[in-house]
Amino acid sequence: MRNPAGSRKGIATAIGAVFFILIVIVGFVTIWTINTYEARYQEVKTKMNDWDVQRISENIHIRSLENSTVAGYNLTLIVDNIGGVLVKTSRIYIYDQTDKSKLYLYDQRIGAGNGFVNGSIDVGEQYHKIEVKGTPLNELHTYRVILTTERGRQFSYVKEYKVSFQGPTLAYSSGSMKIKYATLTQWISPYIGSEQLWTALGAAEPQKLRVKATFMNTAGRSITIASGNILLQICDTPDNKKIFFLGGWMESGAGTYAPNQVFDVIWVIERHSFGNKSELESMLESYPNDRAIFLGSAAFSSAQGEPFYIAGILMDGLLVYLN
Amino acid sequence: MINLAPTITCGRKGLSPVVATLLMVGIVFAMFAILYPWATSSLMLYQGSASIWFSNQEEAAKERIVIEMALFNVTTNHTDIYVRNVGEIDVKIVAVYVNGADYSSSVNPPLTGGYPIYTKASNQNVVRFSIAIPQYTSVNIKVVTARGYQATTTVTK
Repeated sequence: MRNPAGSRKGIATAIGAVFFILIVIVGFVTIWTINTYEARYQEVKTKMNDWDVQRISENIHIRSLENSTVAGYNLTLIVDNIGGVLVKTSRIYIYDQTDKSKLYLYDQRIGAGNGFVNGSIDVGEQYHKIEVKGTPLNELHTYRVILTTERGRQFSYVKEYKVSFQGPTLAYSSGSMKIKYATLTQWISPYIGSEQLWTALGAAEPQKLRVKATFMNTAGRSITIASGNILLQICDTPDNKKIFFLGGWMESGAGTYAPNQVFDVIWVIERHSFGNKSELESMLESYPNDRAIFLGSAAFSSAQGEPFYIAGILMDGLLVYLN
Repeated sequence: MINLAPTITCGRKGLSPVVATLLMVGIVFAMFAILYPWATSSLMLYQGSASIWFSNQEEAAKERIVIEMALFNVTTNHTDIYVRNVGEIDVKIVAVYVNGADYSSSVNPPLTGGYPIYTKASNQNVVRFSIAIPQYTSVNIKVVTARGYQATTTVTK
């Protein structure tokens, strides 16, 4: 006979088990949900890590910044993509380091306003030209250029001011070189014979010698000569062996000269650098040739902080004859 | 001797197992009534915390800012920095440090409550901040977002 009490055995256990399983299921659902969050977070991290890898793979070499030859544009930035990914330019900063108050910003050009075009640079592309409509360059200024990419990299370039040696910026007037001693009141030609020289010296020890030459500013802009010097060499011909130097300083001082202005520059050669009366002859005695040549050369240089300018000019020769 | 016990017992036979079973079921229900809310609330709290933490981490991972340009502005005598949001989420700039010192109150536009820089999609993803810094030759500037991302640069006069 079946025990009716026996049929109720385990009911509480069964119900308890169901409840237990219910709680366990809730726990599993929670863990699964959290795993989903973590998976999504890891996915974002992986994606951003890939983005970072692409970012550091960007590498742009800026070759130059020039005034543009393309109609409607003022500047051309020439670049190479030497990185491993396509680079998209987001902005170009051009900072005028000479006039420190000017910073030019160029974004992708929209409509007729300022900005740049052709900002996407393919992998391996060289001499890629980014055309910019904006403020033209002043060739006498130095610019710092920063190209920024959409991934946030910056590539910089410094465009130095232009020093043009394509033509003389100072034209020396040939034959204009004159000399004058302190004891003389008029300028005389440097081509003098020994008698003339001794006459000029007045049979006395050499005084300060002044050398003057005439120049014209052909630069098309004002030029400031802040300082300068002259070096005269006495050379033994024909082998042109250098035996003596004379140094001098620019007496006329700093000056600013307008385009096409004709001006004189005077140097002073101090007595001590010229030597004593018989010093020159004694130095030349050991040489059989009876003639030595003074070759003149002038160098201008600007003071520190000024726009740097330098020019070298070969002057007329100064001939000294010995008996 | 007459054994009456079986007779008496026999009359109440079956009552005890029923009560016991009912008691057990009641206890199970009572325990479940206590355990289930506790377990679910704990798990939900845990899940909620994890959700917030992962969400914050996820957002922080999407942040990217760069200082594109920094220079001393001779016109304003301030130092200008150009900060771009190159990430995938809007950011708020909350602090600017100069050589380790907090200059957040010397920044224009002000950083009160965090200054937003939006993503590229908004086309307002670059902002110029102007910082009043006393006389210097070279300074290190650090920009910090609300989620803790940092970008640094050095400015030399």
